[in-house]
Amino acid sequence: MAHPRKKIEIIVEAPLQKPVLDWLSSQGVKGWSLFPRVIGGGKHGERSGDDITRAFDNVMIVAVATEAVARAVLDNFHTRFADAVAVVYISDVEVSRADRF
Amino acid sequence: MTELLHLAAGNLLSPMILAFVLGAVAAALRSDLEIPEGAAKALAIYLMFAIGFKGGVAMHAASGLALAGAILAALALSLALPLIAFALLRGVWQQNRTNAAAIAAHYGSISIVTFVTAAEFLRSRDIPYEGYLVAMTAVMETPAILIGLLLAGQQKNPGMQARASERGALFREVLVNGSVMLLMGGFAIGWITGDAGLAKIRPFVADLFNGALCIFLLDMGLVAVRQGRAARSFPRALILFGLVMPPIGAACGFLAAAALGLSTGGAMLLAVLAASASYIAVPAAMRLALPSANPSLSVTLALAITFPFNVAIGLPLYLTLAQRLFGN
Repeated sequence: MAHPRKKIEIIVEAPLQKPVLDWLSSQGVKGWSLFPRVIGGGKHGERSGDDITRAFDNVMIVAVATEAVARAVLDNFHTRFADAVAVVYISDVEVSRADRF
Repeated sequence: MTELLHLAAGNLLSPMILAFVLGAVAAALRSDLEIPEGAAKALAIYLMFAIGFKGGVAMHAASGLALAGAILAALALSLALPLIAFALLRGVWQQNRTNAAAIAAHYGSISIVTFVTAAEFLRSRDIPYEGYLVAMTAVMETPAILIGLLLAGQQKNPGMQARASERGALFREVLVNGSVMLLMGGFAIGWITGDAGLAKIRPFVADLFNGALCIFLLDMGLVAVRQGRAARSFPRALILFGLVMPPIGAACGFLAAAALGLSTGGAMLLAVLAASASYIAVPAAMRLALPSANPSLSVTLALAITFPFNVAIGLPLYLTLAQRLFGN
């Protein structure tokens, strides 16, 4: 049986990895996965994923949560992490084990 | 003057500096040459352990009292350098408070690669230096981060202000960061085991050192030029700060060296430490604690301007000055 949930994806500068994960947990997110050294480009130029300082590296955090939790994350992220180099979005997914998310 | 030119030419034609130039040229030509990140990290670990260990061995015969004095002097420099940099950036370069504080933190900290290159520059000329300079390197790595945050003052936006617990975690992280652990750990192992210890691992920590440094500097050449290119809209006037601040720092280093009664080699190395700017420990810490500062200003200054200046021109300049001031 499939249950509707929201997928939260956050691409954020590497130095903020730990504060963002701690904050997600405090918002009720129960689990996460992370891709280190995510390559990409945009407003802040290109990010190569092998920066010597780590200040210009990105990571991507993926989590699945209930709609209420995901909305709160989406609405509050840029207030909590103002000035952070970050992209946050949520989308619809389905999970088979409702109690895990 | 001829002596300085002779030293400068000898420095520029060393394999280490030519490897740096090779990296810079490759990046300028947009070559796909790259040192894999893991390999660069392994080289850095090796260089830091080896320089720490050799410093510890040199310390074997010295007294603990000299070490204590050196550590106090290192702390004093970490306090003074960011204040000077901050005053200049605010007064002369008209930078806003946050950016000035972030740049000042980079210049109060040190570049280990510059130090290692300078130590090798001395060794190849048979100029000895005090082993505890390595401990000073480790001590000077992180206090400037704290000074930078104090200089930045309260952040306007309460949402982005690092919370107390986060700041606590940041300070713990910078105090036990990998470079500090390696330098101090290698130093302790060298100090404890002395010449007998060195005899056991000499081929690794001494004979291979220059070759490893070549490859690491090649990577630094690549990184420095790519950073210079990536920095969009870098204010040209700031380039001058990256060239003026190192000699000012070196002068502070010489003052501290005179107070400590260092040898010519030791004085030169302390000048190099004070002249160098961090581009490994500080940038990530500043993104965490001072996110409104523009990292491309501070990193471009430290990495693409001050680092090449110090290794190409600074080393012979500081040695010539040290020889004048502290004797041959």
